[in-house]
Amino acid sequence: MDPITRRSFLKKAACLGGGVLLSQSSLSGLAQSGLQAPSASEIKPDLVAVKGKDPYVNTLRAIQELGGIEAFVRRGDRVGVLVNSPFKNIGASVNPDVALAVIEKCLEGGAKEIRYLKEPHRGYWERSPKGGELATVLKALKYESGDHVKVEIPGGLSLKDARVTKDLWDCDVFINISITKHHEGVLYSGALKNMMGLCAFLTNSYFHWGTLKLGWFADLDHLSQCIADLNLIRKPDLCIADATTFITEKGPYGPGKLGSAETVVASTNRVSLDAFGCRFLGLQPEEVLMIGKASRHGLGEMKLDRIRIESLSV
Amino acid sequence: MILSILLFGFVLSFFPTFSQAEEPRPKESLSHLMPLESDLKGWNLDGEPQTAEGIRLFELINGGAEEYVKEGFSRAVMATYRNQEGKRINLDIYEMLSPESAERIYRKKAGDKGQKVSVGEEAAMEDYYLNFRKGVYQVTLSGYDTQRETLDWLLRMALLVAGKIGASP
Repeated sequence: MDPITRRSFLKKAACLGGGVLLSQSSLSGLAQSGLQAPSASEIKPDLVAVKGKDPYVNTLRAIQELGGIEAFVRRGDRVGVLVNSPFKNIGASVNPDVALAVIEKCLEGGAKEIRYLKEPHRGYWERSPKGGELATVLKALKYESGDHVKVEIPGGLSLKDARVTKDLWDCDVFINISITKHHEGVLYSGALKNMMGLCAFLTNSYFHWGTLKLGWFADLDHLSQCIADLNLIRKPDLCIADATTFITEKGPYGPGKLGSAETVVASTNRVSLDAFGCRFLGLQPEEVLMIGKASRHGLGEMKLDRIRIESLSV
Repeated sequence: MILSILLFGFVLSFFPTFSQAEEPRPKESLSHLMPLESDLKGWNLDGEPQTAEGIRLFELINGGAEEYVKEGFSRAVMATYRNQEGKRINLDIYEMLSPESAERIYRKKAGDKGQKVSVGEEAAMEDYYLNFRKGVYQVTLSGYDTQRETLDWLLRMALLVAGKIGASP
């Protein structure tokens, strides 16, 4: 079951109140005849894949197709962005233009604060040709505090608690921005794996060493289960995956042979996003253990023929 | 979980990196192997280099450390150089416990791919990065594009590092 977020609770409460009002209204007849199912053009896709030469433009379009930033960020919101950007090698971190596009849209949407939940590698923003023109965007960022809090995970099968950045709980909106890349251990690193960026080193060490098998990747089942369990702590409101240029070997750090799909993928569901994204590495979702484990936690749909996918080119 | 973490140190003892921790450390910092700014016209160090010893390499490069630690890793220095046009080149110097360790990790990093180039004892140039080994060292240099100019600088910097390794006491 998806954990309750601040936003989802408020939405549900509003719907419940609205439903009560509607049933009591003298206009209930209108409810029977006037309300219509949304048209096909109004139904938003579950996942959008935008292909094009410009990662910045692709990202803007992907957000637009999911309903626009207003579907995720309201005026005054504090937004936390978890960007996979700690590694300096090309294709090992999210293209900074993708991150910049998301951050810029959040500010346009009226976000009061943008918290960068995991410190990027030095020189990250200088890699973007847009870094100069978006200097004001960068100035608005607040970086991680470095403080962690212990979070209980009662539904966890292997991970029962974790030390997670305190900043995550100071955000009204949480956006997960990952890169679709190779990983030596779990084969694929995407949105689910990106959540490890929230954790203290000691917690992440438990993912790798918790069963005392020798080697950082010696117990992939435990590692994968821990990643799935970690994803119980908070559901991202929006997930973006950078599939523009990515390492296809020697992940997570690189350098290695690069793949290029010139695509940015967006979804509100990280399981579906990873199921879609792993295919850029030539993998099927069933081959990536954490995707199946996260799906069994009820965190999302991994069978892509069961979701609405929109693919377009710009 | 706490018990597992407390046993973490016990597990570490099985790695050659950790078991070798009692040997006397070289006194000189690895940064003496890095090209000086005076050696590189128009290039400057971008921030302070980062260093790691033993198991702390995991904190720096996460899962990328696994192979190094397995093969016998001692310490590393990582730096980025930047020129006036904003071009960047990353330099990672890994000191292994033996020349055999360095050769093994080189094989894993470079394999038999890439264009062979004459640096150190063995070297290979790929689309945007270069690996070489010399003595106990395995070195990786990487850029952010595949332009000829970038590859030329990778090679030039690699030769400088290799030359300094040869000059080490």
